[in-house]
Amino acid sequence: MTARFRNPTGGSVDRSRTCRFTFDRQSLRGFAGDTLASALLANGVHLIGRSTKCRRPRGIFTAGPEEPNALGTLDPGDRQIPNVPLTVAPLADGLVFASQNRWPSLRFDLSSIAGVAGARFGAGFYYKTFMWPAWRWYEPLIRGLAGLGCAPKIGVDRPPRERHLDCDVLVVGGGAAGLSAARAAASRGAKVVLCEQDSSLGGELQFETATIDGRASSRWLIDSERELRVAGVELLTGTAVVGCYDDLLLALCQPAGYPGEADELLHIRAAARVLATGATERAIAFAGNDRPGVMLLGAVERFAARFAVRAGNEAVLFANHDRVYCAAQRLREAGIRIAAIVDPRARPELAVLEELERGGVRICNEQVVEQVLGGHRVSGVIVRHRDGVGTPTRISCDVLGASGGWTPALQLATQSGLAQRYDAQLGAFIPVSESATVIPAGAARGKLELAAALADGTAAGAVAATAAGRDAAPAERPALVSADPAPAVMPFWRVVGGDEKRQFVDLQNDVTVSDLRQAVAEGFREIEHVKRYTALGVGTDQGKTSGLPGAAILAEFLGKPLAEVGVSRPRPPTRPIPLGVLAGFRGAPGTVRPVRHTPLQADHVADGALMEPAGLWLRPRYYRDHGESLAAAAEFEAQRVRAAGGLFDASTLGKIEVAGPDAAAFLDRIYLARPSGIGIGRARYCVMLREDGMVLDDGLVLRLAAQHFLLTTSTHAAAAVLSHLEYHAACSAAELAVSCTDVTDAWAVIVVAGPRTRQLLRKVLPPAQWREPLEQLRHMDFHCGKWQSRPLRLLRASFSGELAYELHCAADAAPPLWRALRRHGAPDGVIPYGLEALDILRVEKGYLTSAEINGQVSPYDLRLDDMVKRSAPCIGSGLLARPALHEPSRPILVGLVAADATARLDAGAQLIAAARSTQSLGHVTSAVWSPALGRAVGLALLAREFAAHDREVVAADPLRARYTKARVTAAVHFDPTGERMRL
Amino acid sequence: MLISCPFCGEREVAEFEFRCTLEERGATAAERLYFRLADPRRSLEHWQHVRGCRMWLELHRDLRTGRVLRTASVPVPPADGTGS
Amino acid sequence: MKAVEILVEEVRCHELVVPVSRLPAAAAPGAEPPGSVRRYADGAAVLHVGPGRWLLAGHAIERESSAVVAAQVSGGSLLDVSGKWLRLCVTGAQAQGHLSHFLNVTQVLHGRDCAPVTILDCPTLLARRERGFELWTGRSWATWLHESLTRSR
Repeated sequence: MTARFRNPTGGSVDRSRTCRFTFDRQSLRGFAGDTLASALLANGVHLIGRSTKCRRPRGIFTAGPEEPNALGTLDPGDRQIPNVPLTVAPLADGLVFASQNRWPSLRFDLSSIAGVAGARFGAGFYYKTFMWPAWRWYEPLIRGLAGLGCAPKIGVDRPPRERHLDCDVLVVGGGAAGLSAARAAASRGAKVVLCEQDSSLGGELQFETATIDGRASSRWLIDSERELRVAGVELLTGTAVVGCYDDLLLALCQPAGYPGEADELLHIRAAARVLATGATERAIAFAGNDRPGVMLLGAVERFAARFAVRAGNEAVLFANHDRVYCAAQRLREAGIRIAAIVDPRARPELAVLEELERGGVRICNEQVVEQVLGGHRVSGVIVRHRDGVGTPTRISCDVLGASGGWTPALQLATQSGLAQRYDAQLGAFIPVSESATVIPAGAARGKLELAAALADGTAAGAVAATAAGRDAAPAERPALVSADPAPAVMPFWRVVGGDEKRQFVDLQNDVTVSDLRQAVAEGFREIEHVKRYTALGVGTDQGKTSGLPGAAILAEFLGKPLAEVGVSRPRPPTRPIPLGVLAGFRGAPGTVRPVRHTPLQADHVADGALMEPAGLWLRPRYYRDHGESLAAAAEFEAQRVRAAGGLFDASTLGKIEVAGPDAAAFLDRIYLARPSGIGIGRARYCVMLREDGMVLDDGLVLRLAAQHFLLTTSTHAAAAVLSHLEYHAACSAAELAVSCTDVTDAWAVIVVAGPRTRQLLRKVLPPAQWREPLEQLRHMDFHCGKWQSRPLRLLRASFSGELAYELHCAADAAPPLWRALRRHGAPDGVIPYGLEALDILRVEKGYLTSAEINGQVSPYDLRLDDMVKRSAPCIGSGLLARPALHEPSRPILVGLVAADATARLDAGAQLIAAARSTQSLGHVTSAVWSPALGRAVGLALLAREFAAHDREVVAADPLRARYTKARVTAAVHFDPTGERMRL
Repeated sequence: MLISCPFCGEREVAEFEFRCTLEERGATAAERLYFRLADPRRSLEHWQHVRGCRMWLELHRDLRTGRVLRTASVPVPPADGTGS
Repeated sequence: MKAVEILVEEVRCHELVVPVSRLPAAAAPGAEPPGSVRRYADGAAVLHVGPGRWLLAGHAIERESSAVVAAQVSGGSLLDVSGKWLRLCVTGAQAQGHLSHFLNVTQVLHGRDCAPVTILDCPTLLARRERGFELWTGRSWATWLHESLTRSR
């Protein structure tokens, strides 16, 4: 059985495939090829939701993505998709969807009491109401009522889809102008991509009856599509270009028409772009123009032409242009009786008018629709003379098609940087085409007639191809067209003298003419301010049908010309994009940032390490076998290192090889401590400064050859140090010949520390090569050799204060070396240790990390005065001489020991003189519980004037109410002479 | 926005990192720090192509529009020149 | 043939670096165009990956010994960075399509056969090869990058 409002023939729906769907628990039927909106209208359903603020009953307004009213929730439940425009969503069998913004139901909506009150809620009501006695009283109710649709509880499990496209010419829009532009560009040899947001090509051509080149426009469409495919043009339907960002265009491909699994984000780089985005029909403001059954005229035509759906049986048409008469003819042929055509202009000289009148259509020129009658559906209109002369007439109807003309879709042109110009004939703004690479074409440029659009498109395609560097001889084809005549629009924005509180400008946000008048009365003058104050055009439709009428009405109230007032600036995206689509490949867990592994990752995991992110790296914090808790394991590991030995993976250290004829001179400019003085085969602890004299990083410099050095940096500073070196090599030291290469990943670094390490290394390293070096290496010496035919550097250096060696091993050979060390070390009690134990050991010895080198300290603050004295003039040494760096209030590095053996020191605690003091003298930079001393120790930066030895201070953590008494000591707590290192 | 790297060609601006704006040469430190007059039409800046070839670039930018007017690799001084 | 296949390979590498101030001017006869790649039958390759920076993969140092010596004479250095680079070979009919998910391959390889890029935030050298592409990436990044590229096929 056919639905009541479906014509038996016509349209492009597939009548052989019935689709059952449910709307608000009502079972209905439609055909494949329908949208949800057309299927509802076919069944005579017009009430499909309620408005946000006033909860007024609303119906379907347009037939496309610019829909402000007909938003529904698909698949209600935990996975629902809210705010789906019903005019775009294709119908499928079994779809379930629900209306929004109503409770308990669409017909009996209690929240429409707000509608009665809503009349009192003018523009900006949220600045003026719900304040007394307290916002909290109203908040739960408002939160329940506010908003548009409800978000799902469970996200769509969407595989990320992103694609980068490259082409010569991108054509946005697959209508008459777009298709001819694509053909013109392709015939010149350009690589063309065409994006059309609808699921099929053609734009307005799908609904107009015209003849092109002797063929019906529908035939011409099919032929054009085929020709373009043959010419190699990539035709993307269901793909909307949502943003123009300088040289990049973002497009959203949504084959389903609403958020779904197949959504794809396209990054398009095009040498030239043709913006054939068409023109959007706009509304007129008259009282009651938000009733279900009031639609845009073009929408009524579209439902009839494309879906064979009659939006009603008896229509009144209200428009200010000549096209309304052709539209009336087409609608009559579709079976809709036209009760009246209301046209505020004088009667035009068109033959079709007589034909219509013979057919019983009442033509009311110089008249306007004053008011729409009806509750949940239009039941009639009141028509009167434009100037109020004479008596008003009542005309019955069940659908009203209104049209105020067309607004060129300027969003992408404006985002691309084109200026706008007001065209008084069109009553709209059109883009000014000044750029060779951004070319608006067709209706988007104000060429509403089909012949003009085709010609404009062809010309635009040629210009675009030339701009992209393609100039093959074109195959020109003049298109002979007979179609609808020029519309001859007379700008008409609102009916003067009606009830302004019921004349809606922006349907989605319930912005009325009276709101605009109120905004002007309250002093708003700029369109951008009025937009934000009244909420005009801030909805999901972005004011596509309401923006220009709103600006024009504002201009009228301000007494300024519309050209001066302008429209608010459109910003990307021009269609809503689901955040998951924007996230692309970063959407899935674990993919937001890369994870860097050391070569020993697998071994750490096998050894039971708790791996922790440190920047992008994963590093072992402690090994679970060593204790029940973090603290217990760390203590065990630290004690064992000092008692026997430990292995540590320091591969994350930044390593940079500096080579070139002037390498030594270059490093003298970078570091304090004069690296040119290091002997070959020796290393030195050096510190580099920023340009302002503060410490940037510390590390070891190894001299591999006369002009070949290896630098180590701290893990977190590796990237910054490399850029710093490269910058100065290129700029301040540009006359020096030097290269810097990052080799962090080339070398694994295994630290072997503790009293038994030398005997361990004797077992692991082949004696033929390594016995002598092991015996003879002094502190800070290194020896290059091989292990299992891979390069190995053995450096004697210590970060734990114990006898220690660093094995710099080629990264691919590190796992076998580690395992050999583990195997041979186990009988001696040598265990692997993690970051926590490392921290204990180094704090006990007063060694520095980024906790102390925090970017705010000078080398003097870190007690590196000797190093400064020994340096050549280097980067930062100039500003290092500033008197301010020697003030008594500057911090200096000290050690802290907790007074009480059970007390706890926390890094970050502020240091104060006594318990009640509120003046901070410095802060604790690092703190650990020291097994060697049996109490908490730490390092701190304390104001120089208070940093006397043995002074009592309090480490204060007010947030946790912890105040720990501590004593100031030297920064070294354990083995101050360093004899354990020199065993 | 695209920046034309002399080595890599045209690349997205997100691949580059700004380091500093260059001051007028020849003025004293005090003048450079406290008395400079910023000219938004032409800003001379040092950027690095960090997420590409890592070379250093000198960009002339118009700060009013954000557009890059000229891109060059950081100039190498003549052999007898001294660094500042 | 599978649509996309991604394999990880260990390759011995050297880097040849020449200080920028010692490079011949861009137009001079000795200068090489940026992004050029020379490949040899046994899989060795030389990739020009940055100003004054070449990646010599496999046994390329033997093939290019005269070029290396010339570079060293003008102040360059040959660094053994074996272990630093892992090579991900992306082959198959859909190789370019798969990589186009992450970056604009056409633009990045415009007029050249290799280019330093960033894919999914990992520093990578992208190079064209027969029947697909190579992604050279640092060892520490390779596991995650390989997983991410494979997961999204």
